[in-house]
Amino acid sequence: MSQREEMTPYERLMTAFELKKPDRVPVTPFVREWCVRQAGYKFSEVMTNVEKYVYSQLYSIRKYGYDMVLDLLAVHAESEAMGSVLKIPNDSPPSVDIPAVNDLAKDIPKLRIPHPRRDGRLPLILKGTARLKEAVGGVIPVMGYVQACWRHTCMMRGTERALLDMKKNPEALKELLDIATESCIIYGEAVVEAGADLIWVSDPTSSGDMISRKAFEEFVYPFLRRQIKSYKRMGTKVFLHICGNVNDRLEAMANTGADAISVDEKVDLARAKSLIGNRVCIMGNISPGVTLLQKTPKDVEEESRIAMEKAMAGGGFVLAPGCIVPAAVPGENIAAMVDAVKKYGVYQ
Amino acid sequence: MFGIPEKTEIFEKLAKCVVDGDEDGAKQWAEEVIKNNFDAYEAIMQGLAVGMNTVSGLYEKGEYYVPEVLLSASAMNIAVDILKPHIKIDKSAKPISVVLGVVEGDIHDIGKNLVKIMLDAAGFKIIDLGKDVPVAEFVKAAKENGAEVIGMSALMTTTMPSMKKVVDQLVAANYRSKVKIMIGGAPTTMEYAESIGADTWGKDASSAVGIVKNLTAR
Repeated sequence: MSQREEMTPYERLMTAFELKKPDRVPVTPFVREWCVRQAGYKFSEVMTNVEKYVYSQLYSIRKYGYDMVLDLLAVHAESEAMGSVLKIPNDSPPSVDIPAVNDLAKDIPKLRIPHPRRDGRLPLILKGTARLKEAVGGVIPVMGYVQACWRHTCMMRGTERALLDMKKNPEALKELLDIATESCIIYGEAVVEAGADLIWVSDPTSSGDMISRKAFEEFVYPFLRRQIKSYKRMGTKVFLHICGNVNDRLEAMANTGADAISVDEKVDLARAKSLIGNRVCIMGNISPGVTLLQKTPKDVEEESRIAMEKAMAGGGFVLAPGCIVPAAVPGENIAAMVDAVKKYGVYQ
Repeated sequence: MFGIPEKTEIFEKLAKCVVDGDEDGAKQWAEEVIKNNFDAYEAIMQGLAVGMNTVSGLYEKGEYYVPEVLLSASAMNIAVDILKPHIKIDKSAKPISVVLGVVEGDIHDIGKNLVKIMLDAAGFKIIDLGKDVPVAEFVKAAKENGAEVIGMSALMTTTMPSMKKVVDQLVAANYRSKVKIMIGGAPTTMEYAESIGADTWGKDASSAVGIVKNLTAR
């Protein structure tokens, strides 16, 4: 079916991020709880046992052969280290239960930027990054996760309150955003030091499903750009993921300085490619909730083929899901994504 | 003041305060309703609800986003708190009950809260189960309240499967035919709603009122 592959996953992804043509389209399913389940663990187990998390990643990538390992354990870890209290269910990722900032005037001055090697679960997560690097470094790219500064703000303040603050307390909100940005920069630095080859900055609260472009430009963009630029100065690759309708802010996303922009099925890849494909690598956009979760490998292959047809020309494209892959997705559907890039994603 | 204000004029002011998210104005005009002995229920339905309906339309058109809707809801709630104690309760009219909740494992409740705001304003009785709601709670709440509709929301691809569990449990409890089920949330689709045996799907919060009216039309 396909000729022998000529590049390592590391070379392949980096080539795509540099807007060039690799041997074939890289494929990076966003897998976290999916791997945890593949390896037979409960999510709460890996929250405290980083070796189990690392094993779940290595087990899954060896079995399915996609192009990136993910240190995605840092779910809200920065916000937790700054005082938000998490709820940790038995077999799904944690969520913020009690936000750290209740009273803006009283609680903002109390915030301390966490020390990545000392505070909260941060040292544990960094250990995971380092372990993944030891295991596959140089051959398979290691992704480290840092939440976007606006997301971090929402996780410290409570999303609904933060959204209302845009209207009622814009200045205090910007002060909080400034602290969040500093904290994300400092933590990101530690993630790179621990061995991450690229950083995933995720900002689901920034889409057009939530806030206007005007609000995005005022409250999100300047801080997000500062955060991403700082990672770029450390020499790492960065991809920015905002799921939801971002059609009116694709250019702003590209202007943040990220190497790649990851979008979901609400964005047409052909349009994204023609609009910003000359500046950033495009990643997307197989539907995790519909196609991966509920359809057949044949459907996954077809949706993957269409995605590549729209956006792989000339390089600078990565086949990815629109968001995190649910634990219940059948293994055959992830395998179908990998088969699809080998079948339809080879560059001449 | 310039004499006694007209009732309709005050209701229009209330509607405008909701649209503009003007909390101070909403408070002032709600107090004016009470002071002039106008009907509090009418003020909610012909003032605040009309405003919220406009907000819903603006949200649907993409002119309003979540912060704007939240601010409008905040203004509305301030006025509702003032007006509610003055409503003359009509015991003969039984409002249609709707159970709402974000499914187990999911804490993203903004969309569900928007749906609640819109349905509340439209006169439905809402039983709000909150977020991260265990599967059995939906079934229990529907039975206990004689609800005609269950609305479920999930904002993560990872928690969507919980919706199916609720439907399955309603079937197992022999209660499926007693309620209509609507679902919503960013990763969901009509196709998904059909695949899990729900009755319908809502694209966004602004479609909720129409959907519930359709589902409960007799």
